[in-house]
Amino acid sequence: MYGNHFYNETTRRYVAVFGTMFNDIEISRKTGNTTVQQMKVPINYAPMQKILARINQDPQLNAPAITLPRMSFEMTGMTYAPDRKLTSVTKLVKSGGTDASMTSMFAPAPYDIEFQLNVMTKYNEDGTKIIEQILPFFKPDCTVSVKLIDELGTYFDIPIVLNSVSQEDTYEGDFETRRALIWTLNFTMKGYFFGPVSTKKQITFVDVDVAPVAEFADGQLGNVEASQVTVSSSAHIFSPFTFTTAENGDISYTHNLVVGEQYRILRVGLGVGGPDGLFDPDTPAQGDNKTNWERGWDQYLTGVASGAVATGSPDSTQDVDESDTWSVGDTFTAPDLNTLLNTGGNNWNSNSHLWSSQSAKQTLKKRMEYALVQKVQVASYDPETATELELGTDDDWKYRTIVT
Amino acid sequence: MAKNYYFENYENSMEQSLIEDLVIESIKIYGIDVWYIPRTLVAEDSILNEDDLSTFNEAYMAEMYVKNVDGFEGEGDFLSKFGLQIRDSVTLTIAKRTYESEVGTLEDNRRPLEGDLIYLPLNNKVFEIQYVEHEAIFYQMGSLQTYDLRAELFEYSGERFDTGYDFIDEHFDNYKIIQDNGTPVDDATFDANTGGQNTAFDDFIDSNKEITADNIIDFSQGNPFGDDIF
Repeated sequence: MYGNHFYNETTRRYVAVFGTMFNDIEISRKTGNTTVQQMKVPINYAPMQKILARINQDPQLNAPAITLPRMSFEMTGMTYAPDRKLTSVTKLVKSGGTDASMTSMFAPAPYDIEFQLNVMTKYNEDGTKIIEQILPFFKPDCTVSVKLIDELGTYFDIPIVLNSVSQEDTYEGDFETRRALIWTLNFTMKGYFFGPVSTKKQITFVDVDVAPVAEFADGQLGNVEASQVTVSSSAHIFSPFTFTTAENGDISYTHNLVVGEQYRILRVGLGVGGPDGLFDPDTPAQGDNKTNWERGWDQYLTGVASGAVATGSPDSTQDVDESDTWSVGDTFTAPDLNTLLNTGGNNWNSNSHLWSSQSAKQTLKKRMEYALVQKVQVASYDPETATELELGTDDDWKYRTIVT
Repeated sequence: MAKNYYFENYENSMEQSLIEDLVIESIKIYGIDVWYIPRTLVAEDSILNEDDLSTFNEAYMAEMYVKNVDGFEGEGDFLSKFGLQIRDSVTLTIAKRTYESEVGTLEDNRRPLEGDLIYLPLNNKVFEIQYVEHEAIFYQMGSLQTYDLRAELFEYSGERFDTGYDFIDEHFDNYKIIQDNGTPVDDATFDANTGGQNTAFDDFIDSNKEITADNIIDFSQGNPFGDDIF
């Protein structure tokens, strides 16, 4: 319907669920207190193909009239249940997990599905033994949780209501008419029927036709007309370092940024103050009034971190704001740590212990662990190429419009 | 008023014996040998008036005449809510004297009893006597020579057979849902003997669909059969 093919096998599941509820009933026959016989009661879905019934149940042409006790059930109909209707636009969703997709479907249509369970026995007490194992669980409903849609993996609570119980016993009449002992139980299963399942990939950008204020390569701001704004997902935001703590407590780090690429600081740092206020962002660590987060950026971008040697940093080549401290919005070029380390004569080399000793690594971790940056790409004034803008997704995204 | 004393149509024992001999001879000529299997009541329930633990411990061969020569009576084979049902019925005639000599004296029964079984070799099936008509031929020469046994195909419900004849004792093995020791048969035998009824649900949602009835019901969440139901 509407060009969509789908089949959720919902009805089959309802049949299976109903049958599963009653397919392990056992009865026993006793003389006094001694159990003489114990048997499992067969059950089947009553409607069946006639040829199969004949082939399967009387293959040798010597079958008895019937084997009892026996149960059967069938679905007798279904009715729309308006009292359980949900808003039509309500969606059931599930994250796709590793493939960053989302599976969704619209709210199902509620239907009351009628089932009839029949119990046939040769002996009266066989019937009561079966019925008495069923009735206590329906007050008047018994609710089971059923996984109806594999794609969603969600379990739905499906109440099954016992509506009526009746017994037929044809014990009257002539002696040549066979006696039939049949119990009939009518149930209503409060089920749902589902539409098609749709799976969509994660939204990683949104195209919006606006004329945002852009920042161009020469540092000037201006509107880019008829441009395309890309709201990037968090996947476009990086941490400069990934820190790993080994079992023995040793810390190692990995540099995540591409050397030579330009990045913009989204978050200088994040942390709590220690006993001496060492990592309190409001408390300067040294006499240069730099916080430890800012000092961490000094260490990362210039190779030095002590107050004395860091005087004057960040330098003009790194800090486009030409301020003395690294702050949100500043752009920088990702340094090559190995090159800095191996360049003789500069502060990096003389302070290499800052990158190698465990105490220095722990300090670096505290300073830089929560720093965030975003990749910067610079566009030109050419309207053909200056048509894509990337916006960050942090709280200040409106103020950091970056031409890409 | 009294009947004519000179005509004895109902009290001539010699002629009654002659007719009975002729009936027995006729059945011996036109009848077939069947096995009469008397029922033993084990646990008669005086409240619900039934015995669900009957046994059949003896079997006696006797000749009987199949009265419905054109075929079995009854509703025949049909598909019901409970699967295939076979409603074949048969009327068998056994001579009174034959019954008394072959069965009655051994079982201490004066007549065939409703509920007793008859194994019919013709179609290798067991019939249950529903009704014994003792006046089918109405007082021929003043006496009754035969019983008409109205029998229907047996409804098997775990009845126990120990007659000593394998073809009778093992007749329902393919339909057993209990073992001889009274416990349920194993799952494989149960499925085989019930046509896979209970696991049919597994069958139609099994294999590549990766769901089974038990898998799509999560009893741990709803705990519908919890301990606090009472």
